[in-house]
Amino acid sequence: MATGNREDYLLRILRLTDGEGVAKTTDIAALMNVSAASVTEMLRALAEDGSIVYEKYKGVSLTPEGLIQARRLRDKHQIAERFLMDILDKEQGAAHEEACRMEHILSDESAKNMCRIIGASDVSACEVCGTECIKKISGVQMNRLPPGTPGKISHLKCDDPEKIKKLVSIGFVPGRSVSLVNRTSNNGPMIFHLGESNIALDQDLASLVFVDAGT
Amino acid sequence: MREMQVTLIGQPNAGKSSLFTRLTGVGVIISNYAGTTVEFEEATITRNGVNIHVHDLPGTHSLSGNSDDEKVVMKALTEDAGDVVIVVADASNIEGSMVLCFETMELGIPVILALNKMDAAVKKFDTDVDKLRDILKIPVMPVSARSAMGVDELLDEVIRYEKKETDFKVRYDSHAEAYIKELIPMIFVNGLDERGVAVKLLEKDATISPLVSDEAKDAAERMASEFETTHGESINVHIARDRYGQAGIIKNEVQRKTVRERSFSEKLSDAATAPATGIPLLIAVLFITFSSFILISGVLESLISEAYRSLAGDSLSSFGEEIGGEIGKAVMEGVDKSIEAILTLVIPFIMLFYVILGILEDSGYMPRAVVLLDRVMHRLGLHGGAFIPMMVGIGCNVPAIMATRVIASKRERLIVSTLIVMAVPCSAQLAIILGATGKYAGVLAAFSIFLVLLVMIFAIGILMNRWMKYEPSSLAMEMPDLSMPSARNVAFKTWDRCKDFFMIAFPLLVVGSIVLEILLQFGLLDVLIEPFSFITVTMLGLPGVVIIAFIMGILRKEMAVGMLMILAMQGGVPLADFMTGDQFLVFGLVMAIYIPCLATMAVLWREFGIKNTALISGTSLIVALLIGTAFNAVLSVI
Repeated sequence: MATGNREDYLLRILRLTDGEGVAKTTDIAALMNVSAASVTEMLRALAEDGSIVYEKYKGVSLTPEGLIQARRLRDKHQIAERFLMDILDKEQGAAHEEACRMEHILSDESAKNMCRIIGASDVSACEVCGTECIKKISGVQMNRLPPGTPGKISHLKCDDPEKIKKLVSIGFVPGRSVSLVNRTSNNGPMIFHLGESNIALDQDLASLVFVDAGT
Repeated sequence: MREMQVTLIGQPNAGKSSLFTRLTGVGVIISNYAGTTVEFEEATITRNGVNIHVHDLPGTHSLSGNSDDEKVVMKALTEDAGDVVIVVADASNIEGSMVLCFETMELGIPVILALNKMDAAVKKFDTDVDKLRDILKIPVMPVSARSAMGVDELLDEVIRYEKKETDFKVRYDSHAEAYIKELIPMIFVNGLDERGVAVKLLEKDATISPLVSDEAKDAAERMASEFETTHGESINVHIARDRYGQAGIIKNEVQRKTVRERSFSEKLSDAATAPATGIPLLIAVLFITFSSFILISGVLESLISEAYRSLAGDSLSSFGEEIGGEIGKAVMEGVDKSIEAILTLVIPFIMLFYVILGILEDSGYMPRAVVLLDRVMHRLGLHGGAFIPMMVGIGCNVPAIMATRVIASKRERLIVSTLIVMAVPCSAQLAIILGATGKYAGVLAAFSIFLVLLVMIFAIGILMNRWMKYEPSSLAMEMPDLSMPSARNVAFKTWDRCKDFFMIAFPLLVVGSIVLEILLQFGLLDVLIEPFSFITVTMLGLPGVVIIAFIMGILRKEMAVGMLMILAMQGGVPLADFMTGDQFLVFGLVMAIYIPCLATMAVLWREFGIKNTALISGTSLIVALLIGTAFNAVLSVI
C-alpha cells in the first residue's frame, strides 16, 4: 500500500541521494520536518516494500525499483507543474503546491498526454514517458556506460558548481545523446562521442554525468 | 574612410585562426587541437574603401563556463563587441556552435554565423543554409578557410551588415522565463540586451554581475537558489538544456547526414586511443619522430656544412684582409664562422624539428597522445594535457610556457613550466647535445645526457608534486578529427618559428665575435675569463674560455655552440680538437640543464612572477653546475 506520505519519503531520499549514495536518517527528518523516530518507522516499512535498503547507523539508499518509482514521481511533479503554469496559466507557487498533490494520483497515461500537450522537448529523459524505460538502465554514471551503447544524459550531479559549469560549457547537458568510444586505461580518461565530436574526459568528471542508457 | 571593428569568436578548433589568416593575410600559428590561440590577434584589411579591423579571440565552447578563456571572451564582448561579431562554427559540428551563437545574440550583440570547413562538411551532410538563415534571422555564410571559399562573400556581408532586430530567441522553461521577466525591469546596461543580461545573471556569470545593481544581483541569486531547491537541479543546467534542445531541433531541420559508414580516419582515430592499439602506436610515433630527427639532422648538417664551405671558401676572410689587414681578417673570419654556425645549427636541428612538430600538430595526433599519457603524467602531479607544452618545449621554451595556459591549475602550470625549463631540451639545446656532444663525444655521450634529463623530469615532477599543495584538476579535451597536414601550413609555421634565429641570433653572434676579437687584440680576454676559472676549469674541467660560451648561452642557447666554434677558430684548431670527448659531454650536459635564456626568463616572469622566475633560474644554474661537476669527477676517475 503506497500512500502519499510514503511517496514523499521516496522523493526526499531521491533528492538527498540522487540515485547514488546514502542518505542519513537525520537529514531526512530535517527535510520532512518530523522526528527521527517516525522517520525510522517509515524507513522500515519502505525497506519491507523493497523500495529502499536501510542499514542502521549507515543510512538509506534507493533500490533500482525504488529509484524508478521516485524518479517517476519527480517527473510527474514537473509535468503537472508545467502543465498548470503553461497551459492553465496558474501562478508558480500555487502550481507547485497543486503539483505536490497531483504527483501521487496522476496516472502514467495522463502524465504522458499532458506532456504531449505541453510539447516539451526535454522530457525524453523522463521516467513517465515510457513504461518501456523501466527495462533500460536508467541513471547510470556516464563512466559506467558500456562502450558503444548510446545513452541520453539525464542530469548532472556535483556539489561544486564550477565543475557543473565546466561540463555544461563543453556540452554535457541533459537531453543530449552520448556514447562511450574508448576507455584508454583502467583509471585513465575516457573518450565520449557527444553530438558530432569526440571528447576526452577524466573519470571523475564523467562520473558526475548521469545517463539513461539504451535510449 | 569608414572603419569597422569585427570580432571572431568560436568553439576551439572551429578554425577561427585559419579564417583570421584567410581574412587578413596575417599569419598566426594554427594547429589541429584546441587552445592554440592564447593571445589576442588583431589585423586590418581594406576592402571596398572600408578599413576592417579583425580581432581573433581565444576559442570557447560557450559563454556559460568559468574558464579564463571564457572570461576573456565575455569581457571583450560585453565591453565592446565592435560592429559585428562573427561566430565561427565547424559546419560538421554545428550544435555547440549554435549554442554559442544563441548566447551572443541573446546579449543583443550583432552576429554573423560563419559555417567554416564547409568543403569537408558537404561530404558528410546536406546543409540548408538558407533555412538556417530564415530560422535565426541573421546572416549565415558558408565558408572554407582552407580553400578560401566564401571568404570574399563573408567580407562583403560584414561591410553590408546592418543591425536588424531578430525575433529569434531561445525559450526557456516556464520557471526560468518567469524569473527573466521579473529581472528585466531591474536591468540597465548600456549596449546589451536586458533579456540576455537577465539570463546571464541567473547563470551567475562573473563578467555580467558587476554591471548591474545589487538589487538585480540579489534577486537573481535568490531566484537561482530557489530554483535549485524546487527542481533539485542547478538553473545553469536547465538553461543549457533548453539551449541545446533548441539547437538540436534546428540542426535536425537544416542538416541531414548523408554518409553513414565510418571513414578510415575515424577508425584510425578510435585505434589511436584504444589502449591495445594506441600505446604501440604512440611508441611507434615517438620512435619514428626521434629517430628520423637524429638520422636526417646528421645528414643535413654535413651536407650544409660542406655546401657552405665550398660555396664561401675563404672569400670572406680574404675580403676582410683586403680592407682591414690582420684585424679585418680576424673579424671577417668571425662573421664567416657565425654564418656557418647558424646554418649548421638552425637548419638541420631546429628547422627540422619544427617541420616534424608541425606535421604532428596538424595531423591532430597530439590530443590522442595526451589521453594515452594521462596516467603517466599523474605520477608527476600533472595530467595528460601537459604533454603538448612539453612537446612544444622541445622547439622553444617561450611558446611552451604560453601553451601551459590551457592547463587550468596554477600549480600544474608551474610544475610543467619548471620541467620545460630545466629538463626538456629546447631545439637549440638539442642542437648542442646532438651537434656538439653527439658529434665529437659519440652517440653514447649524447644518449647519457638524455638519460640524465629523463631522470630529472621524473625527479623534479615527483618532488614538486609532493611539496606543492595539491589542487585537483581534471582533463576535458576535445579530440579533433585526424587530418592530412598541409605542406603550406607546416612550412609557414616552421618559418615563423625559426625566423628569430636568423633575425636575432645571427646578428648577435656576429657582434659577439667582433667584440671577442677586439678583447683578444687588446689582451683583455684573460681578465674576463680568470674570475670564473674556478667554475669552468676546477669544477667542470673545461677550458677557461668556455665561460664566454656560457655567458652567451644566457642570451640565446644556440649562441653557446656558435661561440664555441668561434673560440676554437681563434685558438686555431678545428672544433673537434678544441675539447676532449669528456669535455664535450660535460659541456653538453651543463648547457642542457643550464639557466633559461633571457626570453624564457621574461615569459616566466610575466606568467609566474619574479620570485618563481628567480627560483627556477637559480636552481637550474646550480643543478647544472653540480651535475656537470659530478660528471667531470666521475669521468676523470675513469
